[in-house]
Amino acid sequence: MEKLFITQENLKIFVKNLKNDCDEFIAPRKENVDDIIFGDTKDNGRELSTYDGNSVTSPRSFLLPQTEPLFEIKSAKDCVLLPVEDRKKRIFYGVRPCDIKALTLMRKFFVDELADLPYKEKFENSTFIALSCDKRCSKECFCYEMDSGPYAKEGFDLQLTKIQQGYYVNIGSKKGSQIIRRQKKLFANAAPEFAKEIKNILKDFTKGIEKIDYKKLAGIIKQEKVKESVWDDIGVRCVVCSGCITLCPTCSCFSIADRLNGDKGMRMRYCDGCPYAGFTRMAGGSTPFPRHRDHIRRFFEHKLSVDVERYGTPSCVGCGRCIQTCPGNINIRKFINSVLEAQVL
Amino acid sequence: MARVLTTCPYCGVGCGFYLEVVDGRLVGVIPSRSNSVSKGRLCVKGWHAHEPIQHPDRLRAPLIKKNGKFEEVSWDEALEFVAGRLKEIKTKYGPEAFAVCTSARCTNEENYLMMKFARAVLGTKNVDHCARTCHAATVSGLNQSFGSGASTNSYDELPFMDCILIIGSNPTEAHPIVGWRVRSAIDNGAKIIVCDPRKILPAESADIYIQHYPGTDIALINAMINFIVTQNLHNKEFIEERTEGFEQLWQVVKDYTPESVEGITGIKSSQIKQAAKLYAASKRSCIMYSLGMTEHIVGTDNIISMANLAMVCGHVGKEFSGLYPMRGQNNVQGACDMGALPNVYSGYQSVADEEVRDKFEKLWKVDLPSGTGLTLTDMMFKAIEGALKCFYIIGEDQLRTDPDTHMIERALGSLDFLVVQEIFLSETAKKADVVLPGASFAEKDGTFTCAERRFQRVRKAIEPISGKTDGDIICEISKRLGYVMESDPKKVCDEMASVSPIFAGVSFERLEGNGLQWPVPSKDHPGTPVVHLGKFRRGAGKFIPVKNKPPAEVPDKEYPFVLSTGRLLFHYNTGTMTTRVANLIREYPRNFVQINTTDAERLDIKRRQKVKVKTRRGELEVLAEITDKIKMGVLWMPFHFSNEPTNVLTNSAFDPVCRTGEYKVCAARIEKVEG
Repeated sequence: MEKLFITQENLKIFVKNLKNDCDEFIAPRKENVDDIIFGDTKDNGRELSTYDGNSVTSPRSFLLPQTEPLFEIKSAKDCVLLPVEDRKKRIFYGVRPCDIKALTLMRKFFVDELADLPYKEKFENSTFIALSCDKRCSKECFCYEMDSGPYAKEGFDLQLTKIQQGYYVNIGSKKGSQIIRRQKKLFANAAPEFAKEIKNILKDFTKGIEKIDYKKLAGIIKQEKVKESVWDDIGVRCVVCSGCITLCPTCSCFSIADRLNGDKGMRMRYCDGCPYAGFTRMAGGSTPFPRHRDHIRRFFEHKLSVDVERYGTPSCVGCGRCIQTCPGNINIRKFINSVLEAQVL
Repeated sequence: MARVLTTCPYCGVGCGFYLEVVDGRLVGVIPSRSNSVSKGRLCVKGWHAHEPIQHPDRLRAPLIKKNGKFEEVSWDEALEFVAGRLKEIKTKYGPEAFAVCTSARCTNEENYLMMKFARAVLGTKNVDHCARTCHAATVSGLNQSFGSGASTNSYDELPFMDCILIIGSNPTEAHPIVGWRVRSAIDNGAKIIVCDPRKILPAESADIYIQHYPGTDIALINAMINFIVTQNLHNKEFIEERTEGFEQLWQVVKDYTPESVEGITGIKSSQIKQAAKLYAASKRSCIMYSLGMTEHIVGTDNIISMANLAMVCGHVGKEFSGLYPMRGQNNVQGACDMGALPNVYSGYQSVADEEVRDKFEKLWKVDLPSGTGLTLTDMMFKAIEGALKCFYIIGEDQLRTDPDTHMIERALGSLDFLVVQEIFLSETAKKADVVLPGASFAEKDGTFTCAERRFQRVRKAIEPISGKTDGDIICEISKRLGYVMESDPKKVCDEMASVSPIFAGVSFERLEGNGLQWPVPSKDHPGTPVVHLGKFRRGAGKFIPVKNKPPAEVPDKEYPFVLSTGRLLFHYNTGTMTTRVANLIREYPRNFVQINTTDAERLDIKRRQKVKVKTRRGELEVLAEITDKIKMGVLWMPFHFSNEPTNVLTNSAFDPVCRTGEYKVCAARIEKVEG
């Protein structure tokens, strides 16, 4: 992989030029007080070229929005349907490595396995420029432990790393090298000492923390060796707000609803998922898991066990968003610890 | 794509989020981490707040009933018609034939305008809103005891309490983001006392859970005070320095020994003593309550008894203490604050005060009616009697929210003219002569005031679906009646602040960021997180002795159960919005009645079996939910389902002071429906 360097000033020019080449430039923006949220900055220059913390929402909110029209129903009676297409060219800038890993997992689910056209279309028209982390973005984040940060290994087109003199640049794809080629003058070859600087950043970042043995974790969960009291506690805490499944960068569940006004309307899909009793309730009112704790339990099982088996890596990327938004103070990091420390033998 | 920061339209907690708009379509909600109320959290209703706004069922054009059927008409025709009819009624019957019901769902600015419209344009004293059916008892009770009828402290103190006494309140379901703070308090080691006929979620983590009978709260609290004083756990210094009337209180409370109330409350004296000791002896203790305390014929007395308990222990008038009345609607605090009450103008300035009236007369350049108007409760009776001829209702569905639906039906049916401003065709709107399509929170600028007295901005994300906001509509009718009012929310806010001393420092500019907690007496005042610091608003805190009084209806042979009602996590009030959200209606699609396992066994009622619940006022067929979380002898029903309306059963008996109905207790019978 080619190692390049760009100065802060040139990055600004680079971003300006990139904006001419896309329909939406999705970048971290400062909103009320210190809220940071990804938003379109193509026409307003509000993007933060570097920032502390992470966006409240991940790129998922653009690729699999909370509600999304699938097609227009011109006439339900005569079955006249009009597809809703989104062919917008988007450049995502400043995406954290945890969210980049999430995108690679979502790609497996929505693009590589059974192609989900609305997702695939948006994903393939998107460019992802990652911004690696020089410190933990919040006290809830645990990306390094989950093997998803502070640097992205794959899944990005370009990755920027803030160093003292500017930004170190990794190229991660063909799309990435094409972008660079078009603006080659802005980049220089990276000096060898930059690699050393990055090594030191990583050393500071990982000081005193250990990676989680996610294979062992997955095994304990799969063999149902998690203490009952751990699930009970989660059951008492979860108040079905749906915040975790809405903000999680790897939650992929949705439901379908038709919004009809007479004969016309829209077929929508919307975020749905395991905390709801209704998500798995069947006709006649019976449900495979009557207890609430066993609904939210699936969130943990899926991310930490099922996907490890399926993809070889957990689909919890340690971004900490579910922890930050939970009104029950459920903490997936603490859950992992309690499972690893106190499994039922 | 636009992103608009605004305030949640559901309960009174006041969470902050961004509405996401793509091509004029509301597509989602993003919580605001910087919002000091919600700090990046929302409940399930808030997470779906965008979904009902552009629902096909929204009212888009004004409706006039012609030959018993609604016809869509132009705004001009509707406004002319309404103004014409209002003029006729005023000429024929005089201004006191009007009653105006403003909306706790609307902004402060709209409530101020509506209050002004009632008093200055229609010239009527009769203006009220749904606080009457929820926290009117808080306003009347705490005003007498402390001199201010709102929450004494702030949300952010909750996680650091040593003891939280939760009585008649279900924070997890009804106020989830305050429920989060209760959760945090538990996680921080706080002791929790829950008093509720149902074992609500916080009771699962409580140190003491008291499952007393509905309607026996004063007996319970007086017994706690009795034990605290006899055990010498009361705060003598506080009582001496900051209060008056302790002797009078003791003369009444001395008879309420914990042992003496065992029969009434159904609670062992040892448990009452334990709770009293824990509350009194903890350093940082507060009381959280809600409609379980106010919706009784003794609502005001209930609130006073809690004020007494807090003052006896000195657990008020300082940080990390106090009373937290959890307000039920997004802006019910604000609607009260704006003077949408029959006895006060904005900022709780009495209508009986000549100087105050004079001030408003000068500002509005009209003569104002003198004296107190009718409460919402009395409006209904007066309509049946024939004294009231016209109701103007904004954003409220009395036919589903007020107790004894059949009585409300008679009241609305007795009117000459009924105008309803609504966003969906509610049951009350169906009875109207004219329905004016209002605007939801996402379609207007303004402010809401949440339960911790915090003014917060509401911002327009999309244009009003009907073309007009509720404020616009009021101003247009007013203009047609010959009185011009400013409708720009920012200017209305300024006018309101200029004439209300406790909100004097409020303006849109100052609410940027994280709003302001009133009292804000001046432009440079930072707001007031804790009220009554050092001194109560009324001077000395006043002990007012109150006695236990049985509910208006107690179980008997014919109606052996106590029926109580309340809210579910997944729905909001009459469900006009939440039943139009796919995930919410799926969780609870229908009404039901909760019954204790033992009672159900005795009556041979099975899970999800159809049963008939009967009271002296009506009957309703619903499904049975059998649970051991409810006290034996008690039934409980939510009131969210318009097609299975629980309030046909409830009792319209009311508190003589604040006129709030007794939703929380009536006598009922339950029987199986065969087949």
